[in-house]
Amino acid sequence: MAHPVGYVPEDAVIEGHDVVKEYRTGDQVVRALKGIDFGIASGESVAVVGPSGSGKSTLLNLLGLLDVPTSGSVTLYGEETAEFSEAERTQKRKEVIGFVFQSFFLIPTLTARENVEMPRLLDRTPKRTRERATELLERVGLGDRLDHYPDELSGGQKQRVAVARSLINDPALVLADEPTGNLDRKTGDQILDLFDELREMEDVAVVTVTHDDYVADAADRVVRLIDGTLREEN
Amino acid sequence: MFDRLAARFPVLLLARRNLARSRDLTILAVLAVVIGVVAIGGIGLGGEAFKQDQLSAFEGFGGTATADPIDYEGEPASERGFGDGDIDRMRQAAGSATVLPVVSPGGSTVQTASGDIAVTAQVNGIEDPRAFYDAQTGEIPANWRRSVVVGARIADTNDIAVGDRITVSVPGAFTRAFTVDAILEAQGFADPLSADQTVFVPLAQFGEPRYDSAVVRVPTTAGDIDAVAENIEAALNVRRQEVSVSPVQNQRAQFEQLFGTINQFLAGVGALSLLVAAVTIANTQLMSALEREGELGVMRAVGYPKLAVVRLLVAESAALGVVGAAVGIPLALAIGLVVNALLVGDPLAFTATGLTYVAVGAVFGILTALVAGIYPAWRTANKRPVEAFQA
Repeated sequence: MAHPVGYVPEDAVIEGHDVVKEYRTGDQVVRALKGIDFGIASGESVAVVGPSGSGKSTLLNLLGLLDVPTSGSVTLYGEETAEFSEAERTQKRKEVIGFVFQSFFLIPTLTARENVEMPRLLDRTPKRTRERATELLERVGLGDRLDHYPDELSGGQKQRVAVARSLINDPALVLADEPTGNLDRKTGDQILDLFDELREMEDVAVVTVTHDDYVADAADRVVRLIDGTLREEN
Repeated sequence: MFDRLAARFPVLLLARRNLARSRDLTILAVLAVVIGVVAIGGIGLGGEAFKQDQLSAFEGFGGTATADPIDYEGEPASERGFGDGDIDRMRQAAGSATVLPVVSPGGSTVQTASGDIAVTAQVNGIEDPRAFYDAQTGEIPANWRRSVVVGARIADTNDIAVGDRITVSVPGAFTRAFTVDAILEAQGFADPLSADQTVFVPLAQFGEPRYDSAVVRVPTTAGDIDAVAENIEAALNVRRQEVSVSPVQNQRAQFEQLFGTINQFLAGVGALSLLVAAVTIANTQLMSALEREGELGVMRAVGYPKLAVVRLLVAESAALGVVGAAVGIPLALAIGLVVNALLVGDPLAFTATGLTYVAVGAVFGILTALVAGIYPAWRTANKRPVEAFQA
């Protein structure tokens, strides 16, 4: 199913219009995104591909409410993200978005289960959080590794913990930054399969940022970024 | 218990795990706080014990005062100090109290039997030492006119014994050899005549002198030295100020205050070590935050507010302070026990002031750690999560 460049689905969780992002490095202004349109519908799987420096990370930061556009509009459920205060953005991130990183970023002093619990540790609902974390770890196949510390887990297992962590707050959107980048092909495949499985079970949209075409093949839809602009996918 | 606490304050769980991670740095930072707490508490307790020890020298001088003449410029030498008339008026005003006139000639020298000069000796002329002092060895004669009586310290340091002949030379008065009839008991530094450092010569040897001061003492059982002091001043200071009478207990109070001030100063110097502790902790926390930039960035990304990150990092440094204080307090108290045993003779002779020093040291230790952690925490929490990712 092919979509036109800059396709924005109707029931988008988050969408952007004419989004420009500029960075200042020294006295030079770098234009990382040059006026793009995008939208992520609930439950869909989108791969953002492109060479390094194409603006993938910038787009991920905007989708993750970690940054706001220089001009244009990015809206979350219709609300303009640039108008959120920092505290509101932090709260929205917690409610709506899950993150998976290339280098896992597990906290080495916490067990697998504590790492999954971490985003909700301050919520004062320890029992519910523990149940949910256990359930998620079982679902990613680590039911027998709950009390293992990260250095007792393989790379693939760590990434599974990170995937479970991204789902602890029941997000509408999971952003995965090169989730298979530090894994071998076979383990990477397992993680991608896991995403597909969870997407169906948890009804969560997954945006995978990658420069690896093979990761893109697994997605419903591919957005190709080159030099800050979107290109037709063929 | 910690698990229950951790469930209630999840930040504590994170903080404890993180401190356990860099164990060596944590131990060093705690050690810095311990040193600070022990320095303040130990100096405070030690100083207090020293003060108690020194103040015990004032015991037995409760009813004693010194009367010093007030001399005016241009006054002829014949009117300086006290004359016999002044002493008589003092005695009248003093009622049942004893007034002992003293001649303290400047520039006097004492030469021992072996010919050495007793350098630190001072010479005082008084009527009858028995009024104030008891002999340690020898005997003070009832009709004392031709011999000398020597203070304990001077006798000890210059090997002067009863029966020795020593030469006392007073400029403008006499140079004579005297037999030592008695060595006095040690009196301590609070004695108004510094008896321990003194060679007492009979007043009769000075002919018709002017007195340099007088010692006033009320009978031990009855009498109020403050009232006597006031009476004497009232009687003599009629036309102008002629005499100043100061009870030894007032000197004790001044002395106590002086000691308190010195002790505070020393504890303040001890507190400087907490400054070093602060630097150590700030350094530890900056390094640790740098090392964990990625993790902390993830925490910010998954919805930890800035303040939660600040709280986490400050909890870590505060924990360093609490542990440091918990180790430092017993150490400081142990030092106090030893110093008390050595100086006061009772290991448990803690004073409220001394214990306050320990408490202040502990509180300062914790506060220092807490404050030292604020800057690194704030700096880290204010990094945008994006920057943290790309680290």
